[in-house]
Amino acid sequence: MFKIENIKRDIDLMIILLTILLLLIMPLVYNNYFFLNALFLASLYMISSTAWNIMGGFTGLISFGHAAFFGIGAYTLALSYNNGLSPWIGIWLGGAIASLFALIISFPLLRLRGHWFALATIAVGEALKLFFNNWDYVGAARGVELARKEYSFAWIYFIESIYYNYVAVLILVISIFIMFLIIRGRIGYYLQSIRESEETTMTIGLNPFKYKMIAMVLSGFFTGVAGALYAIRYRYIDPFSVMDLFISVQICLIAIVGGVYSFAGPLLGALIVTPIAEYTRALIGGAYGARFFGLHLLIYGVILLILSLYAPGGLMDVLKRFLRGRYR
Amino acid sequence: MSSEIIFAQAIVDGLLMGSLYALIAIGLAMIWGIVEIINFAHGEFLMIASFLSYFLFIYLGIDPLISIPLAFLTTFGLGYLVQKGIINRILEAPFLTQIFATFALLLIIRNGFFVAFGPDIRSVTTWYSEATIDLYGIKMSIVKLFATTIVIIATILLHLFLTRTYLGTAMRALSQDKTAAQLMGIDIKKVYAIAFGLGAGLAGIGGALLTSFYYVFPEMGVPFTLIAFISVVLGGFGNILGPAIGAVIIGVLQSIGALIMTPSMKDILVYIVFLAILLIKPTGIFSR
Amino acid sequence: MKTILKVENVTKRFGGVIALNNVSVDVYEKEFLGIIGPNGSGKTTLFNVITGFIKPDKGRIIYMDKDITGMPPYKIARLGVARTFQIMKPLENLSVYDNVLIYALPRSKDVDEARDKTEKVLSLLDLWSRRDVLAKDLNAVEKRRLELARAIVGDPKLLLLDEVLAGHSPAEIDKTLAILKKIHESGVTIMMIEHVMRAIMKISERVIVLNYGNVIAEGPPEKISKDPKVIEAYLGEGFKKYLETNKT
Ligand SMILES: Nc1ncnc2c1ncn2[C@@H]1O[C@H](COP(=O)(O)OP(=O)(O)OP(=O)(O)O)[C@@H](O)[C@H]1O
Ligand SMILES: [Mg+2]
Repeated sequence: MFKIENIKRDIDLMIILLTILLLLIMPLVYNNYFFLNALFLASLYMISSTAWNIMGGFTGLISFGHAAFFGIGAYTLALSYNNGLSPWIGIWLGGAIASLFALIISFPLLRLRGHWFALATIAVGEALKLFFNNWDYVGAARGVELARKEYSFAWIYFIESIYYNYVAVLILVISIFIMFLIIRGRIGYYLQSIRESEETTMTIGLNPFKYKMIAMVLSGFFTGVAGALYAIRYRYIDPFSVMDLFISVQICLIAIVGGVYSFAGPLLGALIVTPIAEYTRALIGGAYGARFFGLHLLIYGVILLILSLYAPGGLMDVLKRFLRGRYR
Repeated sequence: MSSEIIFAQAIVDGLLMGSLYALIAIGLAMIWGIVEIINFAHGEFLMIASFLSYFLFIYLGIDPLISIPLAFLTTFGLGYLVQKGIINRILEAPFLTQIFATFALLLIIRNGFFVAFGPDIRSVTTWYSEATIDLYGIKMSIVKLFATTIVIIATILLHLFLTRTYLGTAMRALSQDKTAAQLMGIDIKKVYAIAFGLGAGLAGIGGALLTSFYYVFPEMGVPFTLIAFISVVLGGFGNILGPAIGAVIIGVLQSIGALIMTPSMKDILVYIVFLAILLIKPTGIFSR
Repeated sequence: MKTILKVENVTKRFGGVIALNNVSVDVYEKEFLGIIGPNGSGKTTLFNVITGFIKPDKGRIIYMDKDITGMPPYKIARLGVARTFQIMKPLENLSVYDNVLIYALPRSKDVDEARDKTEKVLSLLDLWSRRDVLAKDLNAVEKRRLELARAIVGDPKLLLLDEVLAGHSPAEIDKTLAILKKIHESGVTIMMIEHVMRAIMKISERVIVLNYGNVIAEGPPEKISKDPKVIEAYLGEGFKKYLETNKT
């Protein structure tokens, strides 16, 4: 699978490698707080949107509730960190708890199809946010602040923000690599088969419910990991910063804009969309007033509408058309 | 005040609000049932109408209740164009693409208004804003009473349209059996456009009614979209009575809930009820 | 002869319609069984009951001495029962190659083995040159072939074919029949629903006839084509529709 000539012909793999390269080099080239922050967010969205896409793009389970997984990951990290657990374990624990939550809700939710599933995920996400907002153990509306530790790699606590970028890249490489292997293996094929037709899938002896559950658990896991990364970087979380519907929307939008029918679509989406969003938000919003905070969402909307009319496969579609012939 | 009066008051308030929800829910159900699209931007049409009647009041002094027909026509027209220009082109596309399209619409309309008018919360005060009628100690807001009347009239007109006119019959036929409707010579895309327009127009009437006693701001549609979804899930979209009853039930539950629970508990409960209904109600939900 | 499948007294109602009325059918190992009957006579419903997509109201399905009644479709498929759909359900947005590959995977030890099988089956069905086309862009005949390819790539023991010849020209029919013959000779038991009388009479070793959910005749093709009950069934209500589907 990883022979050089194969890589050159595999557009997904090319994009993965180029993205990682960019994330490694750019912070050194352009060491500016604002830019580093945008890159960090891009890494988070790369992980969570790729994870979203396992459900949304590959399996056809559209979720508008991924903030629930994201938030659970963030809270798990914050609470375990404050109780003295190493964040290097806490990040994966965040994923594990999020995937456990995914497993539990998969039983009721997977009885629903299409629109109904999508609607139910909104309800799950919002209900969980409100629940956390009232739950004293997790600080309710006051949120959780990460305890002060000594500045060190072990506690992922740095004065210079560039180090957070490299932590994110490390976790991103591991996460993307695992997801890539899974999606390129049997399971990836089975999920696509389920997306296209559950009935046909059953005729080869596969239980669609089981594989949809696997998709949810995987997707929940890596979205939780991304949430944990958020918590370790910003060191303060509350229900509205890590569980809001807005986060679910952002996660799925990036995947959609990048392209849901390819593995690397969400990477492309995050790479292009996050910086645009951060810049319009901070620069235009900062300079011309709060109303322009809506501007990047307006731009998203326009892009999304154009894509759904002319290139439902997102930017990957556009790129593939552009490169037709050179890649398969 | 005795507890009975408080309770009765809550029920009356709930009924009045529920009737407004019903109008919005019927609009959503029409689009959902006939065009087979779920319109995530439904609350945005309501918001557009609300802004329209707000500005008509501020700049031209037109009473929000008078601007209802105009609000309806505007949102009808917008809905018609949306169906014609966007949805009709992706009727055969995967459901993923369709969801994204109405979602894109939501982002564009809501944030377009946000950018244009800012996040400010506006409201209108008319001579009747605070007026109430007292009935055995139960206070009924005149505006809401009026709104309920309008809702009932609109629903009756819609019912007559769907049952007595050719176009209405065509719509019902289309929601039952697409192929048969095509064989009857119905121009599907045009009927879809009118259905979407009507659905959006109903939300528009709701928006104009809200202007005189609610707040006008770009995100005002959110709770109404949510409630409309819950109502449709509860009542189904086979006819106009189902979602209407669903909406009235939600309205009453909501105002009784406000009596006995904290606001945040109440909101959690709304979602839990929503999920429970989705999961428990077996007909029509799991098969689609 | 050993039976591979026993359908015992199966009844299935849809509202007021009796799709299957106390139907019993024995299928023998390695035989080629044709199933005919006018439109709406219950043929597809019989397949749906056997493959678990529909639960019968009454009766049992015994496959290789095991009661499989009410088992979910994927479990029945694992026992080696494959089928095609009359209303085709290809994986539309995937290539022809991936369509078949997916179906080869569960019974292969790794992806490479599945690729080998996929290539063999695609060549057998004359689809190799179309392997990179999306399934939704195939023409009707190619789509039927793809259904067939997917059904056989998992090496089934029992193969249920629902109108795989629909839309074929006479020349294409002969080609597909030759392929079916090869599959049959490799030891697969085949049940085939078909309206194209010439084809089914040519390839089947035995034919059963359904009418209004009842088995009205059963026997070798020569006998069936002369059976007065069968002729009457086709001359009755179903006749006009039958003619229409046989225009090719
Ligand atoms: N899922 C279903 N729901 C309701 N009625 C059904 C269903 N499936 C089949 N029927 C009815 O059962 C009867 C038998 O249908 P079936 O599809 O088995 O016929 P068939 O012999 O395959 O016909 P054809 O030659 O047209 O394919 C018909 O009257 C049909 O309308
Ligand atoms: Mg049939």
